[in-house]
Amino acid sequence: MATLNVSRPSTLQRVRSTARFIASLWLPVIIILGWYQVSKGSTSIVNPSLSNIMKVFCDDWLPGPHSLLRSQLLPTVANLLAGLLIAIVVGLVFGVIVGSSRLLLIALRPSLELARACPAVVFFPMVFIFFGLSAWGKVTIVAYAVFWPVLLNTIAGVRSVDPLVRDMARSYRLSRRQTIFNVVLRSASPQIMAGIRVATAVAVTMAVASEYYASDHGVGYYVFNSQQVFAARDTWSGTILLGLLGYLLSLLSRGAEHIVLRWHTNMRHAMSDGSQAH
Amino acid sequence: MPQRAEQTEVAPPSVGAELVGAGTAPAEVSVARRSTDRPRSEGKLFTLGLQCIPPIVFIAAWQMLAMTHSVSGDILPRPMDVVHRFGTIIVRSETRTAIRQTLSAWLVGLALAFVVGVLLGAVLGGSTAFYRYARFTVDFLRSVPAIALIPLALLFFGTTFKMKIALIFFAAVWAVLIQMIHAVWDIDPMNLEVARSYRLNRRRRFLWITLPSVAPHVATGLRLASTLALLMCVASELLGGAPGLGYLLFRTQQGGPPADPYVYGLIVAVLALIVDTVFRLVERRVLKWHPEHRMVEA
Repeated sequence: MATLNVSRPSTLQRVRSTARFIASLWLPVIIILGWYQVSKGSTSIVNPSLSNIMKVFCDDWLPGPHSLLRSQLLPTVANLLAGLLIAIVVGLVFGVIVGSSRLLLIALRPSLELARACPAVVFFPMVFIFFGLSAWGKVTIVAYAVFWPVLLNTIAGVRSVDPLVRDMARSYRLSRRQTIFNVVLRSASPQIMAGIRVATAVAVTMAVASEYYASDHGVGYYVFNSQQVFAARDTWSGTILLGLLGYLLSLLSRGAEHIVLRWHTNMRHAMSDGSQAH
Repeated sequence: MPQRAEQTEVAPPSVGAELVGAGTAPAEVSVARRSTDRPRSEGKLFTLGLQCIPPIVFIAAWQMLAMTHSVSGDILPRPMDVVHRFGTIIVRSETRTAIRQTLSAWLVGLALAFVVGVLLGAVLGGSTAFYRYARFTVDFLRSVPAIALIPLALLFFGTTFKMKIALIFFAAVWAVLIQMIHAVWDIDPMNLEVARSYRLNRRRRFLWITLPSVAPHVATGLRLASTLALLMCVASELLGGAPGLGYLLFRTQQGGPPADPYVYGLIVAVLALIVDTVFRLVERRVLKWHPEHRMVEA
């Protein structure tokens, strides 16, 4: 692995990318300062001053005596992760099965396209008739919505496995298990990881939306309820928290993609270096 | 590309049959082999028959479930109930008004997102400095779940058309913007140079070089945005209470036949499918020249 690691960034590059990152920060800083200045001393019901919003944010969403992290944020994140995990496992299994069988793929393709095009929000009433306010309803919704990007990307990834590599695995008499884990899943991993990245974004959306629809706790409930009683500061602070949560999860999924695909990018670099040498 | 896919489908079973033998399902292998012998003659009917199986199994399973759980018959309606209710609901003027409300908000929001996304994308894609300054902000805002903004939008606009437009815009604009930035990056500067040295004027350079090179990306962005916009539109009605199909769906939980949520869900799903299909066709149309162009270049 170490020999493949050709493209380690030099110090100069690192300094440059840090400078770029700092340069990219001044726009948000200006926006926030502008917001602060304009909203200063605001008495509007819907648009409270930023300092007030931040005060509520610190009380509610930072660790402290009145913190709602455990009571509100934790259930939401738990639903989100549970749904995501279930969907990834089920999606991978089905994706490998359907992707490996030509007949299954032919038979299922139109049905899958149909199911995928259908927005998950239309199932809210049905799901909540079955599950009521329990966490299962929310986990089901998250898992259902997340299932499609994982499944379709896995199928695409499995389909794109180089037939030569498959034949090679066969002629080396790799067991079915070895073939699936070491050959098929590995060479499908770029598509799979892309699917999981999309899935994470969908999971955040659905976890929050399911709480907007029917819930008695969770961040979504907190935000939605605060709007119903016109507690605008709470609405703002909760929405900011959800934004941060969305951003954090997208960073995490991108990081995971980077780690899983390190072999892939390194291989590419090594190969392109090789071709340049010729 | 289709040729390669054909190879993937054909090669493994025949090899597998010899080496793995009893390990693979024999029926699968033999059918795959037969289809290699006669690739397209029997294919169509066979494929169609195969594709009818999953929906039939699905509906049969649904029917069985609805019949066996006779106690909870008011929870899970039978497929025929849904079809009956569909007939009565779809002819109501209320339904037609709701469809119109949903589609008009979708269209306005999508158009707004398209225009802003393309213009802003042209600016950010064209200037490295602007792109660097805006990158973090765009990245952050893009990962904010649009549905999370429903309460804030309600606070500002109430349950109005405006609220829907604002939310749809926010949900859809990023897909167009990101695609547009990449589209601008993808314009081959050599082509522009050539056009300039042939003294093509600005308008022609735009029509013959910039537009064809940008259009495929933008078409992809528009397709993604159209789906996101419809999802957001229905979500804002269902969760925010703005008038439209989503609101009718929301109202079903206050009572009425158990088939009703399925009927409204079905209507939304059909709309989503139409939107998806139409924009896919547009994308394919715009993309058509692209591979050919690539082949000529190579």
